[in-house]
Amino acid sequence: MTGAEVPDHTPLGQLMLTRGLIDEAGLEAALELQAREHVLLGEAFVARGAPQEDVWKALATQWGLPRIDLSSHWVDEALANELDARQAIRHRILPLRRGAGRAVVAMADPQDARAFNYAEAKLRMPIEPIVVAPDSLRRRQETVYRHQLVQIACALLHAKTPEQSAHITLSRPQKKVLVVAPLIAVALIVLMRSTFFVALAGALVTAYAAVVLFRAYVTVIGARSQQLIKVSRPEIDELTDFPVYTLLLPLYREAGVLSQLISACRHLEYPASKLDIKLLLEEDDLETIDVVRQTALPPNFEVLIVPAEGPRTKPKACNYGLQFARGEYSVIFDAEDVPAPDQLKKALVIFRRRGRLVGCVQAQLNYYNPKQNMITKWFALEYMSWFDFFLPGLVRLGLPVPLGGSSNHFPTRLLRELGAWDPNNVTEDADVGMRLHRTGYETALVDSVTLEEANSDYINWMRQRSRWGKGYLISWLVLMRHPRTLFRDVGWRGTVAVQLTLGGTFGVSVLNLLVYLLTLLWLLAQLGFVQYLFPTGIYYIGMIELVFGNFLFLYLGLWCAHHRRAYDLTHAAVFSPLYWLMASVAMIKAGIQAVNKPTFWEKTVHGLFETTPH
Amino acid sequence: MATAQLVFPRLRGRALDRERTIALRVPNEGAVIWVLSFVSYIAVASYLVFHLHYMINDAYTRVDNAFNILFSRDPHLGAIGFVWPPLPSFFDMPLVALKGLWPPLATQGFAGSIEAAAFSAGTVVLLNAGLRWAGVVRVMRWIICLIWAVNPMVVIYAAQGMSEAPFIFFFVGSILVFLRWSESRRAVLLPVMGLLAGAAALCRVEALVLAFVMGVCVIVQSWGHGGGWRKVETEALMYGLPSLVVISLWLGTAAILFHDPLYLIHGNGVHFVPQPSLASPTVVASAAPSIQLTAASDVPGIVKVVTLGEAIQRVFTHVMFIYPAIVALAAVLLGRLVTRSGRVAAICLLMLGVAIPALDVHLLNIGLVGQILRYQISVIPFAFLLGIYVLRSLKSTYPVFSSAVAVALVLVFGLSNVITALDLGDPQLAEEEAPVARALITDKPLEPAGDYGAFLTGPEIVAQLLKLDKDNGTILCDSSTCFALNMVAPDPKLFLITSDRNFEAAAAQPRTHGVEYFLVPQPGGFGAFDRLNELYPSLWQNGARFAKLVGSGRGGGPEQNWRLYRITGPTGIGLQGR
Repeated sequence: MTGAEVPDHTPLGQLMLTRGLIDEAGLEAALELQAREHVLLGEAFVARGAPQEDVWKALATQWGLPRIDLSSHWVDEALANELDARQAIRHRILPLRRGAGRAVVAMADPQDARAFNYAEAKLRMPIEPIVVAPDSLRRRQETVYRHQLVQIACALLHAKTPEQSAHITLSRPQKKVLVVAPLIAVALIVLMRSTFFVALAGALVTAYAAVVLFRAYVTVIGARSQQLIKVSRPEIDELTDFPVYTLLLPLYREAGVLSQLISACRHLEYPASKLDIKLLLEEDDLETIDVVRQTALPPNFEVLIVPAEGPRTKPKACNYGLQFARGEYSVIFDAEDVPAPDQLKKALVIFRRRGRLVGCVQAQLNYYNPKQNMITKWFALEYMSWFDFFLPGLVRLGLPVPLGGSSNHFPTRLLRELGAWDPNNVTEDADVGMRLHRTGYETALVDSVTLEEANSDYINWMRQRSRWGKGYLISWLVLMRHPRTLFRDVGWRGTVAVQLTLGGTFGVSVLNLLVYLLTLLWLLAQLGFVQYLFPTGIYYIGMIELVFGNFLFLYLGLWCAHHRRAYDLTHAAVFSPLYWLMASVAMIKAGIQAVNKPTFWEKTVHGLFETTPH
Repeated sequence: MATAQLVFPRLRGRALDRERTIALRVPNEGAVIWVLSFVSYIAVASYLVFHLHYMINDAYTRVDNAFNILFSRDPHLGAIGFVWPPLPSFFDMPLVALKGLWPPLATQGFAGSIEAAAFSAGTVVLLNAGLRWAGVVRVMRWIICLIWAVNPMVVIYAAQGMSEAPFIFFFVGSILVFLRWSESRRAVLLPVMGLLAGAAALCRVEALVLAFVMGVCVIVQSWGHGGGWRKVETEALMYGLPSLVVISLWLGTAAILFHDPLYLIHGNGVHFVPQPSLASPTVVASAAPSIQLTAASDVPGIVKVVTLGEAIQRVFTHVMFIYPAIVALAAVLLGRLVTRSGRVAAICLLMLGVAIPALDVHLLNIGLVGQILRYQISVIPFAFLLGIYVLRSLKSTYPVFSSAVAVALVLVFGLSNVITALDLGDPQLAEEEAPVARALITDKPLEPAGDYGAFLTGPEIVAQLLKLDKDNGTILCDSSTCFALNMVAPDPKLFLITSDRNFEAAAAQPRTHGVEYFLVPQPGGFGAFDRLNELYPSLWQNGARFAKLVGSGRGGGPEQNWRLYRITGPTGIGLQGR
């Protein structure tokens, strides 16, 4: 324990100068930063590169309080855990020990009256503050509150709304349906004989048609409406008050893209002192942890080590990081992301312009390596149609929006109230979009692009796509646990949209393979059973779907290439059916994994594209 | 001043500043125009069909094709037949389906007339929209549209369910969209253009070349606009793919059914039968082909083949006579090519207009089409499209001059209409239209003859057949003979026709397939192509030793005699069908 016990009223800047920690120019710059970004002077010094420990030493002197190095200090964990971990983190406090009728509490800001009062109220005794640098405090909090933090990260949603959590894949009624449905099918086969299969073919063809028509309709609506909210430069320039913005950056075995990620964050047009950047590393990812430790991170970066307990998924890591978030708004970026520099400001403008009804601002995603090979070209086209047309169409029609996996901006408070992300769902983004809609919040689409790395390797792509398919299937099963409640929450249109978006995406992808196979068999061999399964009416519907449905979506790819002036992708658009076949195979794998490995997160390898976009 | 505004539309803008005008509110101009045009064309069609008894056999067979899909012994989509491009018959289907409510939809082929009237009314709407785009004021637009609407050729084919009406609609639509795209470069117009061009090809074969030339024009225009060859490729695909898909559906189906995607050209499309009674050859079109009929050009003495020079001369003559305004407008366009920028679009427009007549020249030269006036009908809408293009190009630059041009167009188009009307009275020039032109003057119903009026003979023949076919036995006949019969028969399933999937097998082994009678036309002339006459050359003469004559009569198809034979023994052919 170090530090004076008598407050020193010397201004902090003077103290820093006296101690040789900064020079005059540095002091001036810090003062200017303080005035411009409305931060405390100490934070301004840290933002300018002064070591946090040194700044907090000076602050301790100014406050006349002792300061300690928490890394080697003993902590009474039982005492510490009398506080809620989230509140302790928020107030930046950590009870160390009790004695003589008082509790000694480490605090990053002893002048924070709310923190002081909270600690006293919860510990029910007077407290004696000790100054600790925020980073040091946070690292110790991670250790002391590990159990609570893991518990919250893994089970918050389950605790709040268990029926919306994918902690189980199938509910009991759904399991009953799964058992009873085949029995009914067998009974129908016995009664109807081969007519049953004709009826089944008819039902599948009809369902397929519904999904195709829905996708086409929403896409056309999206193409015609202007749902991408444009934020002009003058509007951005008018911003003066910048709240703290938390960036959650989960990394897992992605040391290779760390420098790109840091660079992307540096390029963000947002006051650096107001960025609360959380690098979320997995406890067992020693390689990435090592690289991070050897990297000189900017002052606004914090490294959080996510315990290797519970589901090993990205949403769990994000839930863990969310507990340390200080920002009024939070956003997720993937490791390889390169967001548009002004994206945070644009999101801020939209949140302020559109009011409290906006639960999420979703940016467009696209790729910086679209031309790498045919897979990346297909992927890029798919994303263009999804973000340029389909999602805007859903927004325009007031339907639930399955969010993208990155560049979703949320009010932090709302995210916590919703129960954050479902750690058991491998498409936590789609799931949270559905929950937002159910709770009455809107999703706004901002005209800002985050560039990502498209998967260029077939196996890697297959892993990613099967994970998405599994996630969509599981999300649909979760939503369909209580169909009547869903209907009450989102109405008939939303209910239909859920079937056709989540369930339909999975179902149609699986069916594609079967449809192509049957068509091929029919064209080559004119097998009798194919003709039997598809009597006239069903045959014509199926043929129309096959020809016009496939053509429509092939043409959509062409349209996207023209729309974005990405003419190099034209050939890929023409050969899209091959991509759909790949997706079919991936979805079949997804269906299998939904049964035997529902929460298994197939990691997507990044860094396969050598050239970074900057 | 009000008069001046009418005559000089461009002055209207200035006049509005000085005097109050009562705005004529037309809630939806297009809908009003369509309804008025449609009602008018239906009135004309009723007069032609029900009073003058004029229905071109080819129009009647198109309705028959639609009828066969729905009501034949073997209803299936393939029964549409693959002689005519299928789209007109497809559009007839929903109307034919309502024959129970009003039988003349089928029995007198009126479904085709309704379909043609609807498309013709649509063309008026399109032209009005085009003129509005060209900046022409409302009154002047309506006058020009009226001139179009009353053109005698347009009127006749708006009342007959031939392919001309839908073809013109898609032809006009595709070129108008092309002109708009050339100016605005709006991407959404590319697929629209492609679909319209493809649909035109599904109405008339010649439009295949139109679709192709339009693709070339898209490439040329796109290249001229800059952006690199990848952009050109993308825009060409955006136009070409919808067009290809539409056309490929038809070609692909022909490939599957007949193992020949160009069956329309290679199969029994159109034949020429030298008619000594007329100065020039008469075209007799088959209704729905027998699979085994050979190409017209393979039949010696049937096709009159002209030299290239003659073909050019004849097509040019038709173009001149059908609508002389085209010459004036083409001259104006060529003049613009010399003096103005934007000549790429002008050249493209010329290519689009020349494409179909050029193809006609080629087909005439190789004997695949006849010297029929309506084959050059595209000249009429093209003249109007040229007018729209010229007016558009003058719109902002020379407003007063463009007003004068609009007035001149009215006069030129009006005069051309008169010339068209006079030409239609000439049987040498307008073989198919001259009879109705005469009938319009005399107001006397026409007797069935040549290539019209077969629908009148159907009921009589069916009555005779039913008297002969006392046991209601199935009658097998080639659709080219009995196209006028099954639509008017009380039970269409009495006839086993060419589009039935077991036709070949039943023709070879009638008793096995429950066929009791063969209905066969006289082998002379067109009857030579009847499938039964092909299979059994002596059937007409003596029953081919397996059939017994039951009865005979006149007027099965166009100017044909017919005989009904009862099957009494095996035919001796071992075919088992398809």
